[in-house]
Amino acid sequence: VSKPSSRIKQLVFGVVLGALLVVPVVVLRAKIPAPVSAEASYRVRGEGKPVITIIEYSDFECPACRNVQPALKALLEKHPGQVRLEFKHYPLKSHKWSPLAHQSAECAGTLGSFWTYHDRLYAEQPIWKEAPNPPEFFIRYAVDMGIDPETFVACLQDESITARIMSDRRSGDQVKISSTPTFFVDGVMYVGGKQFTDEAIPAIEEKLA
Amino acid sequence: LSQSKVKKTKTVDTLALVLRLVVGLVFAYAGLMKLLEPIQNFTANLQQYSIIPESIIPLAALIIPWCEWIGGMCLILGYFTRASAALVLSLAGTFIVILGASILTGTAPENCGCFGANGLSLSGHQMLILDCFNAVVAIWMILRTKHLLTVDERL
Repeated sequence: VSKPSSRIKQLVFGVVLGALLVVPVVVLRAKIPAPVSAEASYRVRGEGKPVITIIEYSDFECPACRNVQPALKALLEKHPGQVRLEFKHYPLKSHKWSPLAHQSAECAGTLGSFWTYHDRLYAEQPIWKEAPNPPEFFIRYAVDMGIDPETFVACLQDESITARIMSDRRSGDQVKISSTPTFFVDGVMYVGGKQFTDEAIPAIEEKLA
Repeated sequence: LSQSKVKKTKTVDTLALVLRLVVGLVFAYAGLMKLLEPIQNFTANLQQYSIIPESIIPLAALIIPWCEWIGGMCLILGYFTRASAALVLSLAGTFIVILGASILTGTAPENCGCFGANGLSLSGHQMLILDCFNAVVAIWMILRTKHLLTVDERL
């Protein structure tokens, strides 16, 4: 049995240790920044003055990102003008064709067709990601949208476009993205399709009701 | 003979100290890496394991990283050493059940997510082996009455 003085020492040490272990962690956690929403961008869906802003960090080669698209689209269609969606590039290192897919979408965006291209990349993701030569698909999608193939191919080499994508990716790293898709609904983080459909959508519906 | 016995005891004590520090570091690192990320990341990670009841996931995501961080640091420092080892054992035991079930059902994710998104990336199989090692060391720490370099012995 320990002496009373020893117990007091143990207690004091425990309180000091607890403070040393908890306080720095709480401070560091509080320093995680919130994602910055772009004022105007061709990667924004939702006209007017929306009530809700969703920032989506997504990867074109990620199946979970593809699977959540119908729910996202249905939400925007159900609440026209009330929900603003901003797409941010987050190409995962584990996906071979992801960087080029994002470069293609960004090129399509600068040429006026971001969302059409975005929708097609997700719709046909299982086809192009398994194809022997995905770049052929990326160029064909652009041509189908009336984009000049030479301009598009030149854009695929454009480093300023790559820099824009990497800037998005870095911003995702700063807000501690661990996987895709990750959403920020008015600043509240939701990781994965499950958290988005089970938690974010009901919260949005409640706010817009 | 007596000298060799003393030498053997010293060796065992030193080995126990090294293993205690290793296991403590593993848990403290795992907890800290998760704590320095938004809680939603670890919540999403737990949601990958179908064996975990959905209703306990938010609470588990909140508590587990703190238990790992504080339990690991207490084990390193030797503060309530045996109690810390018991906490570490309960965590390791829980992880063994979760990882074992996901491996048996073929639903183990590529990265177990045990060290957060930016920490060490281990598969379910690798982490299961590490957790078995952690559990064995924790049991040994609980059974041992003598521990070297502890805060306990100085208070």
